[in-house]
Amino acid sequence: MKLGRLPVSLPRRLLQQYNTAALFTHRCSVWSDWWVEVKQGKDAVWRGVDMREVAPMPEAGYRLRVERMLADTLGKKTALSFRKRLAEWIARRLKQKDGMEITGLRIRRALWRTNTPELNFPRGHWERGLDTLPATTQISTLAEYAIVNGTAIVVQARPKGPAGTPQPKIFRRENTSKPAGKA
Amino acid sequence: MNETPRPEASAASVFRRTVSSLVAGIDALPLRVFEVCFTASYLLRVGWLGLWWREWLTEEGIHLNAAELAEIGYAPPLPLLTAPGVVLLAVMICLSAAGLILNKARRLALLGIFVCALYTQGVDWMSASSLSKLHVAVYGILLMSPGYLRDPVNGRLLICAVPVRVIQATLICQYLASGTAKAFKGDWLKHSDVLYTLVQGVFRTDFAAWCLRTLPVWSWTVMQWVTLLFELEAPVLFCVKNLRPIAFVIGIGFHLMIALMMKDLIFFSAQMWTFYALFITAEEYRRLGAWVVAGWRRISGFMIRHS
Repeated sequence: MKLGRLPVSLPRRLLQQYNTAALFTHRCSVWSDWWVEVKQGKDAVWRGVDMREVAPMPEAGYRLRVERMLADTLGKKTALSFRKRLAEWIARRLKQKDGMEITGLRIRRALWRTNTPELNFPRGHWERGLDTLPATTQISTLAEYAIVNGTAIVVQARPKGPAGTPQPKIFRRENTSKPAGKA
Repeated sequence: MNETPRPEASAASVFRRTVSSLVAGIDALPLRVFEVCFTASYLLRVGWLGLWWREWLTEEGIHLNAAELAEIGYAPPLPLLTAPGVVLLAVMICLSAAGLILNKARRLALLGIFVCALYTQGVDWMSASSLSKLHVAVYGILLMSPGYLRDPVNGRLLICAVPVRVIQATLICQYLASGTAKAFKGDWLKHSDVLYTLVQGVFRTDFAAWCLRTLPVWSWTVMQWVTLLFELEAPVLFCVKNLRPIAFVIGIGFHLMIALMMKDLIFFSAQMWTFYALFITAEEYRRLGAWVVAGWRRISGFMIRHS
């Protein structure tokens, strides 16, 4: 029996109100984690940016609001324009806050497998530390940009890394643009 | 000679009593308690989000535009604010909440808080969640409902039962929809470790980590089944008066575990708990109040005698 779809088409604002209760419905085989790396000058070394210094607003759990934006736009046509905007915004914020002139930025994602010792026998709460990554973790680069005078120039626009790992269903949203019941 | 009551008469009587319980005027004390607690939970949530007001409500933060939101199924965002606009919003929220809590200019307060709830949801969909939807829905129901009346005999507040029943039904429908989605759309009937895997992720608190290290794996399957059965049987547990204590024990415990194991979901749990206030009758509130007052008098008398 397929549930979660109304038999009529609703305006988007009303549909958002209806789709309230169906949370945490699926088993999670992976949990995703996002972070940003930058480089300065001609230095080719990438170093991680603590996004809690740049865009600290939390969304839920230990996930930041910016991470939700990356997760929700993953695989969408507008993802490319959003990530470019995000890269330019981060470059501006780093310059305003710390006087950093960055020349490169990349957005990376890690997929942590559940039922591995790091996740089902953890030391404490969810942590962002990536000093030692378990072998089961899959890392991919979502996008890479060169930053020139505050403008992000695409070096790599599409995800690169281990393919075929789906976003956990808990964070997937159904595309409500088609009326329910239509093929 | 005693006549046996006709079946049609008792069926009609049951129907009349059912309709009466749904629409008649009732003691408004449970609704008042709910209004105060629900508004307090709204203030907590908005206050928490307001710690990051620059990123949340102004151009300083990064926001998805209308095209990006449309592609992921959201309506266009409402306009962002300047710093003075944020102050105005905060004042409007505080004044509306105060009016509602103190039952002063109630209709105006409801309109104000409904508009604020609608705005804080629509201005930034990425920080909105089920919490926001329930704020909008509940304040909308209360705004459209008749106001309070005074009982001419005892001066108590009365309210039409309809909004109370609708909000009670909202809680029950939430649980039932959630359980149904888990069972029929989700994996909860197919896998025994769904809850186990959910607790391992980005919501994991230190307490959840301790539970993962300490509790046996089968206990997570038990918790998974208790959760699913509670949600699917919520209509029976909440509607049958003798079963309601079971609903309270399991429901409050269920949301307490969510709050302890999943970071920031205390706001969701607090909001859900406020709905339970509607399932306590006015007489039970008054008995509880009398018990608390009597206990306080005994304690203060004891302290005065021994000071």
